[in-house]
Amino acid sequence: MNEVTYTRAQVTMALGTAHGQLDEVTDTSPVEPLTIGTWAQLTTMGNGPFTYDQVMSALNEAANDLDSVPEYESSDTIWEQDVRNLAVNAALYQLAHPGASLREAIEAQYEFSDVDEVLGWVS
Amino acid sequence: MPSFDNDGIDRQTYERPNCGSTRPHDQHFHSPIGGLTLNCPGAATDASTGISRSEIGRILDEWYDGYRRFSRIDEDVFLSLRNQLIPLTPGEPVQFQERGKRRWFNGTYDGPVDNPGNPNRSGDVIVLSRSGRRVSVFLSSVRRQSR
Repeated sequence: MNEVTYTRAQVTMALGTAHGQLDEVTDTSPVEPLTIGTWAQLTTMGNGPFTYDQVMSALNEAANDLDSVPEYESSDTIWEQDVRNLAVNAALYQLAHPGASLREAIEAQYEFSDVDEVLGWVS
Repeated sequence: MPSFDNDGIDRQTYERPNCGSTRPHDQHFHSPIGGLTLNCPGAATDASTGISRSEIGRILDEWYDGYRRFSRIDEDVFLSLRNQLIPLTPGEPVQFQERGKRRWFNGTYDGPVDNPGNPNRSGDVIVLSRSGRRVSVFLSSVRRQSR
């Protein structure tokens, strides 16, 4: 069976839709460098299409980079990391479930916390 | 076992799923974001992939242009990070905005401000205007003429 792959347009839509959903609940300034870092990661993998694992790897690597870069680390807050974590989770869920809501993404991706609690971390 | 930071919040409950990637790029002299090994100004290609600088720039621009259909990314943030990923090289034709001005001018990138002791100038670069005037501007106020 062939592995499901996603075109650049599909990845763009998933990242952008998740970004827009977060925009409705919080300040998304931490999401912008995450998004650009993800593009850079994906660029090293070629023009696409990409597997789910490649997109997941790109998002997580970009988030890891931001967590560890001194320029960001020194001024970073738990809130910014929480926003980035939610952006990663929301984008991945949106990729596999186009049109899903942010609440659905949180319900699926945060096993031990309810939706309002997670939204409280980033608000 | 749950892990706790100083705030007492259980961090394990919202770790990113499957976030156990290794970090091979630690072995390289890599750019701050994205894992590309392009920090060396003048490098023609990314050391890890062999992709040319111009190709990487073109692909990043395509990502950016496509993304704006769905969400907003501040152009200053994009240009700043793009310039970190693909450093400008002295002599490269650029457009730049002087402080407080909205208009873009043509010029030539000259290099970082040679005044590291002044934190007010941290991150600034020098651009030569078309008349040859040396202008100190934010890196995020400089973009390649190809954009």
